[in-house]
Amino acid sequence: MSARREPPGAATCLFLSCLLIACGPADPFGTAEPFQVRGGQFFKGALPTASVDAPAVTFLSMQNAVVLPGQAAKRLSARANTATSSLALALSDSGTGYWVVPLGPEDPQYVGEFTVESSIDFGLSLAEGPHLIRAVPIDEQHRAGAEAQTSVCVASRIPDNQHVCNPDAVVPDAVISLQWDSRSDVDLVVTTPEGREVSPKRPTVVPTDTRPTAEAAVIDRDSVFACQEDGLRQEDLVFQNRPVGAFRVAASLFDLCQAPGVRFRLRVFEAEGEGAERHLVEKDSFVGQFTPIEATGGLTAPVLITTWTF
Amino acid sequence: MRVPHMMVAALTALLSGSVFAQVEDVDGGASSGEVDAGEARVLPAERGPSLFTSITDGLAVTGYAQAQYEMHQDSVEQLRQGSNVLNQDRFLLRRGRVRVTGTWEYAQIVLEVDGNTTRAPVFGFRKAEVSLKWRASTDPGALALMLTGGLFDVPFGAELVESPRYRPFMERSLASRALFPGEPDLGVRLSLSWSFLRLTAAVVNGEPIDEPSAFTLRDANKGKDIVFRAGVDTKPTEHLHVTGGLSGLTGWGFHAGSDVSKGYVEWRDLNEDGQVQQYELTPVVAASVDPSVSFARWATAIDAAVSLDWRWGTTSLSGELVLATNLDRGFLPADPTVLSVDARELGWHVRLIHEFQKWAVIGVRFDQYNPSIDFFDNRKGKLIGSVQTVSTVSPLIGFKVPHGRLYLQYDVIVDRLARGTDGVPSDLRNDTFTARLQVDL
Repeated sequence: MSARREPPGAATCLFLSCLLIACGPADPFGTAEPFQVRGGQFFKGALPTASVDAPAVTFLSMQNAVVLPGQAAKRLSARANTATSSLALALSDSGTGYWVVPLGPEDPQYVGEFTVESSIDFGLSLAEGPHLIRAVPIDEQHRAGAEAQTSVCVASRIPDNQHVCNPDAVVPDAVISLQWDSRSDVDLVVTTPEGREVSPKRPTVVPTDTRPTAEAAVIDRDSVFACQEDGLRQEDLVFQNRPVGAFRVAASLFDLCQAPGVRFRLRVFEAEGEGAERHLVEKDSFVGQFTPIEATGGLTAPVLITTWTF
Repeated sequence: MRVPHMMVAALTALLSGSVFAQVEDVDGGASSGEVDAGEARVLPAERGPSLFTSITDGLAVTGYAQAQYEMHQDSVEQLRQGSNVLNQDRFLLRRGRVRVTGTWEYAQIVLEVDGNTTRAPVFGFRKAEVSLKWRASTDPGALALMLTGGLFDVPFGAELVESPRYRPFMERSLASRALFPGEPDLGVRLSLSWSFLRLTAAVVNGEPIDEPSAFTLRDANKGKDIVFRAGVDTKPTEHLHVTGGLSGLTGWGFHAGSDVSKGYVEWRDLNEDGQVQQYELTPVVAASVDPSVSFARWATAIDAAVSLDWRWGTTSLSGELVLATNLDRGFLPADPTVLSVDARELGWHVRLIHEFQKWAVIGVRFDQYNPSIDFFDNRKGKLIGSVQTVSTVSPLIGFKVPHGRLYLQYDVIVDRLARGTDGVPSDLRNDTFTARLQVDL
C-alpha cells in the first residue's frame, strides 16, 4: 500500500522539506535489507495483519532450513488459495519491512491452489540462530489473511559445525579466523609448531604425502580467489581437535583487486563448556592493514600478526 | 543551374578574399540542420583580401555551462548489482560546452565539445559538422540548400534538434530520450529552406551518442537509418509564430550475437547444504557461435508549435506525437530477435510556456511514453494485457540572471515500475527535482 502514489500535498511537502533539509527517502528497492526476495517488491513497515479469512496460505516450506552465512538464492516454496493475489514475506526480528510477490500459476497437483517459487537472499548481518519466515496472503482488495510461518536457522559465521542450529553437532576445539573489509585477495597463512605452512593453497596441517582425515585441521576456503567476490572475505583455520604448541599466524596480500587498501581482523576462538553448552569463545583479536605496495602476488613473506600458543 | 557558377565564384572569392561573412550568433540554428531565416544574419564582410582573415572573420566562439543539483525520490545509499550507484541526489555538471563555428558564404563548420559528469566525468565531441551551402539571394525567404557531413543532431521531430542551451525544460521528454538516447549521430544531411518550407533528410549510422550499447558512434550493420522531416516555419502575423512538421525514420537495429564458449562444470547446490554432491554437478558443453542479426525499425512523428507575443510576454504551446517500432534504445531497449515480437512504442508530449518579458519563465510539460504497447503481465500464470506507460508532469519556473538563467523543475512521474501489495504493477515513487544554473559564454 505504501507504494501507491502519495497525494499531491505529500509530494509538495516532500519537495519543500527537501529544499530545507537534506532528506533521504525510504529505500524503495530494499537493497539494504538483510532479508531479500528476488523479484519481490519491498514495502517499509510491519507485515499487514489479518483482516479477512478468505486469502490463505496452504503450504510454506524452505527446502533446507539451515541458512549458511550470507547465503543467496535459497528456494522458498509456497501455495495459496484462489482468493489470494499476492504473498507478503518477512523474516522475524530483522529488517525494516516486507516483500510482496505475486502468485504464480495454479499447481496441477493441488487444484485451486496457486504457487509461489521465490529465491531468498540472506544477508551476512543476520543474527545467527533460529528465525521465522512469515508469510501473509493478500487479496485483490489489499486485505490480509492469516499469517503462516516456517522456521529457518542461520548458521554461525565462525565455523562451529552448525552447532548453533543443531546442538548435537560437536563444536570444533579452536578456530583461527581472518576477515577483511574490501574485495581483495588476502590469504591466511599459519605455520604449525612442526614448521608446516598452511594456507589456502595448502589448506591442511597434515604433510603432503599423508591423506588428511575428517578430523584434520583445514582452512575452509580461498576467499576472493583471483579477485572473485564471494561475499564473505573470510578464511578460517578450523581445528576439530585441540591443537598444541605455538602457531605463527600471518596474513598475505596476494592482490588488492584495485581496492585502495584493505583492513583485516584476526580472531582466535577456543571452545569452552561441555556437551550441548560447549561453544566457541573469542580469546583475542588483532587488526591490521595492507597498502598497495604490499600486494606482491605472494612473492614476499606473509606479514606476521601473532604467535599464538594453544 | 547557378550552382556551378556560384561555387566557382565562392572559390574565387575565398582565394581573393573579396567575399566574407560575419556571424552575429550562430549557436542554436545550426544544430537543427535547417537553413533557416537566421542565416540572413550572415552578413557580407568588409575586410580586406587575405586568405587568413577570410577564415578567421567567419569564426565565432560560443558556449555555456549548466551546473545543477538533483534530488530523486528513489535515491538509495547503496550500489546496484554491477556496482552502479543508486544514489542520484547530487551536484553535477550537466553540460559544459564550447562551440566554434565558422560560417562563410558557401561553407560552414561547427565544432562543439562537451564536458559533463552526468554518468561519469567525460569530455568529447557533441558536434563536428562540415557543410557546403548555397543561397539564392540574401532575402530571408530565398531558396537555400545545405549539405552537411559529420556528427550532427538527427533531424527527427522538433524536440530532438532543440538546443539544450535554449530548451526551457531540463531534459527532453522520456519518449525522445528513449528513442534517441543522444541527439547527435554520424552521417550526411541535406537541408532545404524556401519561404516557410523546411525540408531535411539525413542518412546516419543509427548508433547515436549516449546509446547504452557497445557500438555508440560506430555501426555494426551495413544498413543505415534514413531520417527526414518536412515542416513549415511561418509568421502569419507580426506576433504569431507557427511551426510544424512531419518526420519519419527507417533503418536497422542490431542484435549482437555471442562468441564461441568453452565447456565447463556447473555446480548447483540443490540441497542447499553448501557441500558438493556428485548429482549437483552439471557439465555445460561448449556452445557454438550465436550469429548477430539485424532487425528493421521505423518511427514517425508529427510536431506543432504556436507562439504568441502579447502584452504580458510570449506564450507558446507545442506538442509532438511519435509512433515507433523496435526503436527504443534508451529506456527499455527493443530487440525483437529473441522473442520474435516487435516492440511498438508510443510517446507524446504537450508543453505550455510563458515568458515574462525576458525576466522570468513559467511552464509545464506533460509527457507520456509507452515502451511496449503489447506488454503482457503474468498473474497467477496467465498473461494479461498490461500497461507500461510512464507519465510525467513537469512544472517549471525560471529566472533570467546576468549572462544566464536559473531554472527549477519538479517532475511528477507516474509509472508501473513497482508492485502494490496485491502484486499488481503500480507506481514507483521516483519523482525528481532539479535546480539548474546556466551561464552563457
